[in-house]
Amino acid sequence: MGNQVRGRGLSCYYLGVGFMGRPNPSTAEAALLEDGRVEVRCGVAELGQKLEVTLRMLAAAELEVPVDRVVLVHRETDLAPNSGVTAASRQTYISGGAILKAVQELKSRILDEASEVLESGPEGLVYDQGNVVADGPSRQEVSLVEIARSCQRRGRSLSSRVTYNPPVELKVDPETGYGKPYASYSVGVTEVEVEVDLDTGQVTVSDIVCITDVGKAIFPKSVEGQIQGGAAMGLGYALMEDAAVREGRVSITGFHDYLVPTSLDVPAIRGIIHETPDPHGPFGARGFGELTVLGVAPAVLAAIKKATGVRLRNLPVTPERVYAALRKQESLQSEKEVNR
Amino acid sequence: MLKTINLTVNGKTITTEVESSHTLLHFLREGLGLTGAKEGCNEGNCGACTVLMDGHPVNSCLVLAVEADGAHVTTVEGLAEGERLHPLQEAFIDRGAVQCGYCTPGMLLSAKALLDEFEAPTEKQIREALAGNLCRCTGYVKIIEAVSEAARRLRSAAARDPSADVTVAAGSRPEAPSLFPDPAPAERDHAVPRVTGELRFTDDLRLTDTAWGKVLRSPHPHALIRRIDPAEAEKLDGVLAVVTARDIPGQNLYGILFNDQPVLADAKVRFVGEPVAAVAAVSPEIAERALGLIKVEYDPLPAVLSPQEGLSPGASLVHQGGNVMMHKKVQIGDVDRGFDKADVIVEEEFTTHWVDHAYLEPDCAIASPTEDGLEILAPCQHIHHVQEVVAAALAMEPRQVKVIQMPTGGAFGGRIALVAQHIVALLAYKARRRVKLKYSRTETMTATVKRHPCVHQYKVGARADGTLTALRARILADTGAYSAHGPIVVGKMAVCAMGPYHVPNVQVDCFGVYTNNPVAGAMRGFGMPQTAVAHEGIMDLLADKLGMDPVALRVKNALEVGKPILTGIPLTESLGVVEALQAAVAERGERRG
Repeated sequence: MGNQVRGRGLSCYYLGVGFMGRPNPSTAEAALLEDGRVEVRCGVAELGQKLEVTLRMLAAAELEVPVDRVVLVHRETDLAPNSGVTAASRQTYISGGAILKAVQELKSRILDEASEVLESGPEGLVYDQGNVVADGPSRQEVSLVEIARSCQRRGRSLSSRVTYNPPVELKVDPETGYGKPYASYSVGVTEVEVEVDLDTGQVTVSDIVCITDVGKAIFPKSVEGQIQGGAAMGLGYALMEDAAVREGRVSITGFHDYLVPTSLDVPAIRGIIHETPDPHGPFGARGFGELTVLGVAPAVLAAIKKATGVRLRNLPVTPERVYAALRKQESLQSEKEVNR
Repeated sequence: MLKTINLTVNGKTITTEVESSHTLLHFLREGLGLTGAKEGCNEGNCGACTVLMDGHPVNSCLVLAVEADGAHVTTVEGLAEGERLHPLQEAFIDRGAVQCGYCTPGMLLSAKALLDEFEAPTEKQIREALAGNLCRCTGYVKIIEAVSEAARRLRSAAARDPSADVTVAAGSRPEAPSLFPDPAPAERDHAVPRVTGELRFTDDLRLTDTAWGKVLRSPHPHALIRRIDPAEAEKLDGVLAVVTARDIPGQNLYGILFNDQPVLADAKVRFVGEPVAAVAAVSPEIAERALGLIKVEYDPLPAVLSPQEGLSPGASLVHQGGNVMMHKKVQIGDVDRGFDKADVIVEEEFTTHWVDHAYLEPDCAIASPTEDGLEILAPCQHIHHVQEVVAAALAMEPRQVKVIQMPTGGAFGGRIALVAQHIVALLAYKARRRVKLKYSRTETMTATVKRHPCVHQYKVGARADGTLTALRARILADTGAYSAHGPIVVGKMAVCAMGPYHVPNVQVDCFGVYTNNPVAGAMRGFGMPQTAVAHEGIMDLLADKLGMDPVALRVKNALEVGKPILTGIPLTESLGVVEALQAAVAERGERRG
């Protein structure tokens, strides 16, 4: 093979979660269904990040029930309240928080209903794994299914609705920028290894490691998916994707002239999950879905410098650019030698 | 010309007549209703239409239906045996290889062809077998794992080894008892319809009585519209409605912070590809012909083709209020004194470029009149925003507009703004018919928002020990013809300009500039992938100049509790910056060791 050199490079980066300097709330509802399952309604968008799984897990964890006892309704304006946009890494953090609060409120209504079913004062009642338990000399227990039936008999329904914004005042001075722009941040570090072909300028990324602090990984498998998918998108951004606009016209027409990474371009990507809890995120979770795109491009630039001595500062790092920079470096070096 | 073909599809023998010009993809989707094979690009590049023909994976968009005469065709619908999923489908679910699900059917079939040929494929063989199937969500890692896992299960099943049924989860941390319940039932709810081809994306719906929409777009980057005459188009047989700005009963302008973008251009056009008119007709062919009959007279204006040009004196005005869409400032401390205190100063300019989301599912939206309003089916990232914009345009109450998010084949910020939903709504409203508006791959790539290209001029000062003393940054972002999510991008780039590091003296000027380029809007990271290139590039340059280890420089300046963030407020809770850096160093040692 050609005249190849290797180098490693690292980048460190962060991202403010949600929109800057203003509240961006989400509304969620929770209701006890007739069969004892709990329906959570919140207008979030499933886009492949598997919010449909994560948010059900989050609600089920609070209810202490299996995940299939939670139904998520989110796709229709008639059925689900406004969660705000599914973007800016904000849904697990903000809508997750709204859902958590709605479920907590529902639980307190469930306790009230249980006190009637059990004919016991609310003080001795404890919510425990999908049951309400009256602790006393005669331990009594009533399940969510029984509570739902009781509601039906009495012609009642138990539900809650919460509009939630993380309890942090966000304000940024319009002139100086002074203030608190975001309630939460997430942080990542990426290290890559590149192979640079000195004859052609071709750069291949042979290894990617991403440390991503997500606060709390509710659904680790999807966290890994977001890390790996984001890193692949970052690799495309660094090396090959270019929607150049010339004379006001986008130059791309399809996947033959807009090159996105294929299975041959993306190396093994190791995602390492860190969990520095966020004080307001549900179970400590932070928003991080976008964060994973940030690291690869700067790490690739650092790795190319390490491998070749050439410092590039324009994206994308096409073979043409690398080749030109390598030749320029060579001619500078030979000039130096001549001058010596 | 019709031709008779005999073929076997998923084990069923079929004799039928097909149009000789139709592709196998068209025949499967329209003739047989097998919509598992997706029309992602229609030019053989994305692989979403992959099916097996006599055991070999083919892009069914590049094969004519008549070429399948006598062939055995397998589509994703034919993978499972009744309720029993194929081991590949099971492994895709277990390994988390299914995200949006749009590439999944094609991916599964390419993988099946590989496993039919090789019992124990190597990672390299798997990567090569999947190289024609693009995925924008997963980074391929879990897909490759899943194929390998399925091969293992198939081998073990062949050897009747019961241990084959046990899967070991590939977690990156030790399994501790979890706060959270077993996700498997919810995962299956999400993934099973995606691995069987059962999940219907918008273009997969087969609704009755549907008219077809097409959009007429501006050929000019900047021009006044003198006249639009739809009369000839309206007269064409089969045309149900032609809409222009004049047909909008409510508010034509929409946006996020600033309502500056028209649903359909009225007085002038500001970018190539801007929607000017749209047609609904009984067939896509007639709709296309009608577009050619709409007469639009333009007076071209000088175009602003870069943010530098937009800021120069005497530049043509994209919008009346001036070309600066937003100037976001951060001024903390005393930046000149900060540089005075510096032992070392580094300066550099970085440029970042236009990028497309390139989600695999082309845009498609369907609008149907209801008793008192409209129902809209489309992929999107915010149903209530679509509802708000459409209701305002049609002068309706929001409750009259029902929006349903269809399964969405990737988004990455490209589907926050309206893409086709508002135009199809207008067509259905005027035609009083259900209308489907489907964009080709090219239209999806050229008419939608992009990532802001930026110029980042950074100057940073530090003491000899690496402590940062000052940052001066000037960032120029091309926001294109309309603001869209530009204000959010510009704001974020300003207040997060130096990454997770503490700098006491800061002067950041971040400009979002209107140009006659395509609209730059939201894309995964809202400006942060651009900013990271600049702040990490300048940190590396500084490390070099100081002769300091780049990680040590970062640790030295990392944001920690008590240190102010860029905008002057001290951090009250740890973000884990130092821990993440240390973990990277430890991992590096392991990899080299």
